[in-house]
Amino acid sequence: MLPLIRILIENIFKPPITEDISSVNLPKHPKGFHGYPEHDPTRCIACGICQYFCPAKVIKISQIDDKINYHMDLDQCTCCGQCIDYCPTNAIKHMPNPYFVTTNLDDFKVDHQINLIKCAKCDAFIPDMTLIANKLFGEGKPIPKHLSMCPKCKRKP
Amino acid sequence: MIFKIGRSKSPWLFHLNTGSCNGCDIEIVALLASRYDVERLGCKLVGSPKHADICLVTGPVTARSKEPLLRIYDMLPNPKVIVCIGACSISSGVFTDGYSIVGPAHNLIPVTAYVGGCSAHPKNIFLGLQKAIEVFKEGR
Ligand code: SF4
Ligand code: SF4
Repeated sequence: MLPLIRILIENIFKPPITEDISSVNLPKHPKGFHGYPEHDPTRCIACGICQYFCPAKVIKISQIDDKINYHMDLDQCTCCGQCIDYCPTNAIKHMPNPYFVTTNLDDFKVDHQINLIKCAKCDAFIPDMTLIANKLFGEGKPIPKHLSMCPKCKRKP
Repeated sequence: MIFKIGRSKSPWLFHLNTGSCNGCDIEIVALLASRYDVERLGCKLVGSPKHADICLVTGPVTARSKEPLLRIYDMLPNPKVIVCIGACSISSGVFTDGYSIVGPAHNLIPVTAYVGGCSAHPKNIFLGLQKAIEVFKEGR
C-alpha cells in the first residue's frame, strides 16, 4: 500500500507525458504538392475554358464595364487540376503548400480584376490576346488583325 | 479551471461522417497513425460524443444524416467545438445542389474552424485542431 501512495504523490509533481500541441514540428509535405489553384490576372485572357472544365463550379467570370471580374469560391475546389491543365496561357498554378485553415469562410473567396483593351474598329472591350499571338506565331511577331477585333467586327466583311 | 487545462492539454476527438466519400476519414486516420501521431499530444479518438471535446465533421450533410448530426450536436459537452474537414463539409463541394443534400454543416450548427482541401491534408487537420485548442485556452 505504501509504495502505491508514494507513486501517486510522485505523479502529481511529474510533468505531463504528452507534448504541447503549439510547439510541434510536423514532417514536411512532398515536393510539387497539388494545393489550391492560384490565379494570375496579368496572364489571364478571360477565355472561360477553366470555367467550362471545372467540375465543382468554382470559377465564375463576369464582365463589369471595362473590366472582367474573375471570382473563385475556393471552399468548393477539389484541387483536381482541370483548370490548370486546360488553361492556354498557364495563368493558373497549383499552390505548393497544403495550408488552408480558417475560422472565417470569406477567406476562401478570391476576386481578381482583368483589364480589357478596346477593339481596333469599334468601342467594344475585348481581352488582350498578346500572349496567345506570341504562343501561335512566336515572340515579337506582329499581332494579326483578327485577334485585335471584337467578335462582331470580325464577322463584318 | 481544471477542465480548461485538461481540454487544452489533451482534447478527445469524435469523428462524425455525414455522407463523405471516406477520403477525409482516411486522412483523419493518417493523422492518428504513426507519421503524424497526434496521440502523443493527448488527442484520442473516442467512440461516444459524450466523451469528446472536439467533433470532426466530414462530408456534405445528406438528408439521412441531418437528424443524427443535430442529435450528436446536442450530446456534445460544452463548449461545443466543431471542426469541419474537407471541401464537402465547408460548402458541399462538388455535391452542391444535389437532390439529397440539405446544405453544408454551417447552415445547421455553429462551426469553430474550417479545414480546406479535397481531401484535407493531415497537416491541415492538425492546424485545425490547434485553432480549436486556442478556443479552449480562451475559455469560451
Ligand atoms: S482545381 Fe478543379 S475544382 Fe479547383 S478550380 Fe480548378 S478545375 Fe475547379
Ligand atoms: S483558362 Fe486561363 S486564360 Fe482562360 S479564363 Fe481561365 S485562367 Fe484565364
